[in-house]
Amino acid sequence: MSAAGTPQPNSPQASGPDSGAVSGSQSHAPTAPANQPPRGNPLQSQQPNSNQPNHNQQRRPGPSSGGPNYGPGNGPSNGPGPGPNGARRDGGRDDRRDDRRPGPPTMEAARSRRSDPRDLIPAKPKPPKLSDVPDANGRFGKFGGRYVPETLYSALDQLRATYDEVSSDPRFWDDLSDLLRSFVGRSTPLYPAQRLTAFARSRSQTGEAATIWLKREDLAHTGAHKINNTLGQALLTRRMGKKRIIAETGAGQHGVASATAAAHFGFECDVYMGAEDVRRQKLNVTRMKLLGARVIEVESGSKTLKDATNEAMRDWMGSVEHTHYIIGSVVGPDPFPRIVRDFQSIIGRETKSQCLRLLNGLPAAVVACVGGGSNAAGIFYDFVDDTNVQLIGVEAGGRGNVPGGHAASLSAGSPGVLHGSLSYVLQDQFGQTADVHSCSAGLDYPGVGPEHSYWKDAGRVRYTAVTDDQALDAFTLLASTEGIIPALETSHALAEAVELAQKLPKDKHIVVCLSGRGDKDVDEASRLLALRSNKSR
Amino acid sequence: MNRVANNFFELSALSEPALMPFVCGGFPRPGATAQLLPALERAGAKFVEVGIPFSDPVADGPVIAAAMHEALQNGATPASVFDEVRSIREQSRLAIIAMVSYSIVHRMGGPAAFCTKAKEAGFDGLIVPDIPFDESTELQAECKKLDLSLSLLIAPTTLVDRAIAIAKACTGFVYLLARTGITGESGGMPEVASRVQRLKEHTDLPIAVGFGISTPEHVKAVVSQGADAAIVGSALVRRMRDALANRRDPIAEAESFTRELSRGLVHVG
Ligand SMILES: Cc1ncc(COP(=O)(O)O)c(C=O)c1O
Repeated sequence: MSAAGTPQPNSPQASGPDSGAVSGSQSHAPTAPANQPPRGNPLQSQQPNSNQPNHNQQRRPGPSSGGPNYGPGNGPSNGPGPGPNGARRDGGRDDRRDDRRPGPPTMEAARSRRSDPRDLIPAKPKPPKLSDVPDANGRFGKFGGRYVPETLYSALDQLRATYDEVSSDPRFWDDLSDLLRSFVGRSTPLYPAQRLTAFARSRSQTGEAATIWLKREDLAHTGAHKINNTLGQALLTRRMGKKRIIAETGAGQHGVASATAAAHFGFECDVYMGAEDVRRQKLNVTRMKLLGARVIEVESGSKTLKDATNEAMRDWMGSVEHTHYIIGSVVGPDPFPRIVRDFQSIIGRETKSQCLRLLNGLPAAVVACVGGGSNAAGIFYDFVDDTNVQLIGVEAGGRGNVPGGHAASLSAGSPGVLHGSLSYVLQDQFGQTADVHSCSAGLDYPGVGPEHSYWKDAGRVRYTAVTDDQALDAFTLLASTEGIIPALETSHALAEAVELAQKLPKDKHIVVCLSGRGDKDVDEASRLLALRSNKSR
Repeated sequence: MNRVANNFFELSALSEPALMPFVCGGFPRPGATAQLLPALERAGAKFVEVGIPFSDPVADGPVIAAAMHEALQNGATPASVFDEVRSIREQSRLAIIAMVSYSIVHRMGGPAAFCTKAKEAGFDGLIVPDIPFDESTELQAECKKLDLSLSLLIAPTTLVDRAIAIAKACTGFVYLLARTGITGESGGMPEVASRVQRLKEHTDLPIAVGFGISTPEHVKAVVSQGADAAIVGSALVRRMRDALANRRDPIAEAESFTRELSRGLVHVG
């Protein structure tokens, strides 16, 4: 570990999560969340609750810093933002990585890298990295691009220009960092799930299983990772001088996060949501309305996420001059996939430095559920170039591999164009989008972000699918073993992680992105569990 | 000569503007397109746009989107629409233009494969509403190779230099959107005069105006503002649906509405 990665003496939490670490001693586990600053307390923002006030100045050099990095929850050292300070095995050269990292600017970073005199020394050109995407045309390999009506083109250009501009403006990232700390409660803890791990061990043929760690995005304000993206895009909205935002939502988490950002910034907010999702995610509909948003129920097609996205795009076609469309995942036309990934990549940066601190190394595997793919891209991105870390994306297997019975775009789809980019899509031979199904509204989508398609074809990420039944089992399992009710989306990742843990020796570690909490799902999950027990009776 | 170019050429000799009705392939029932095209020709149309039904047409409003969904439910596919066009091609002088989502083009093998099939079915040109100029290089090349017209869209939000570049990349005619937003009937009068004038300084191609053109008065407004053609979609599709709901013949309704719209075509010479 580099110096920056060692615990800071001035941190009140320094001895907490940092101390027990490696295989996750029982004692420190509960302290991590408890050490969080009170979420949503604006007063916190000005306080040195980051437990590393001095870092504040150093850690965000302009464009390179992508976001907040301190980890009130898990000790100070988890790092300076973008560049997983202290996290790298290349120790002293962290700042170089910073150039390329944090979220923002691929182009900018390339430019500033070029001007770094240290780069003049090694004559050998570096091989291109898998993380160096998209290109200037918004392409992740052959995927991505901008397949939209001309009407939207100028808005995409404006968004791209604004984003490129803020990429080199430290104030933007400072503002975002402050919000993520004081309003969202970042960083989120990395929590060792002891009893879940014990369950996996009890099931394992060898009696062994890897330790399962949970990256607690459910503890972020509003209860899911979606807020990381909406606050970033709301800041962009303000820069562009727009006063209204629209959003699509499936599970309602992105809708709630958008409505929350709108309330915070004083924007008008309309959220499109399929009628079927309005039914099964009622709690979030109520929350959005309380937050001052208008929820527009979409009755067309399958009345789920794809149809809500169509309606949001149609709204934008007519409102584009004064409205920003906050897309909720790493999907859509360029530059959305890159922007959303960058804003979500805080998850992976924190995870990595937490792992280096708590595990003294990188995990064997990182597992995340994939709807559009934003929580997965967010946690994977910082590990993409660490090829010894297995990355596993878990799609919705629904009722199994029958047409219309699942939403496993990467596992069962083919390259196609949907909602503005080329990516894997579930479609027929003529490019008509297929019907999909998942018990989880947030995964019930026939497309996926183009970067995932790129990672799939590059063989970097393994994509698999988990059925409704397996997800429901994981939902109840986590609740009863750990006292955490996960979102149904997240339950897919948990189901896979419990299986995977059993195939790994006990000195290995798996990190699961616990993308959201399950309050929104308690009614629907109870209904599905009751249906299931009636059937088996 | 390509029929799109030829038909515009014949009209320009008479200084006459054109009406370009839009119909949804396979709507309101399988086989309807093969009957509609001759009916629209009888009503005086020289051009027709045939929409290839798509599951997720983001540039379309509720009327056309619903027609597409129904057509798909009734079993329409790009192949079945091609068959309907092919069945009337010999006996028709219409310039028939496919309005098709790039999602379909891509899935059917990309621009080269799709254009070959469309040409072979008897289409004379393409409109691809969900691809911007920048992604259309391959499509432009394939259309040129096969002598299909390609009309790229220019929106009110398109900056001037870009609009000029797009117009120069078009063949057959330029598709100018009357408004920001999706297809659908509109109450307000279209305002396109200054944009049409500016484009005419840079292109000799005819300029067709669409989106929201719903009445003979709208048609008259756009052609008297300098447009060479007025495109009417949702209003026509809705009339066919209404006819069906009132047990009248939707094909006859389309024919008579097209005649009615044509009254808005005034001599511009
Ligand atoms: C908790 C949670 N996890 C995951 C998802 C899926 O989205 P993504 O794949 O973009 O992370 C959602 C979407 O609504 C969600 O609410």
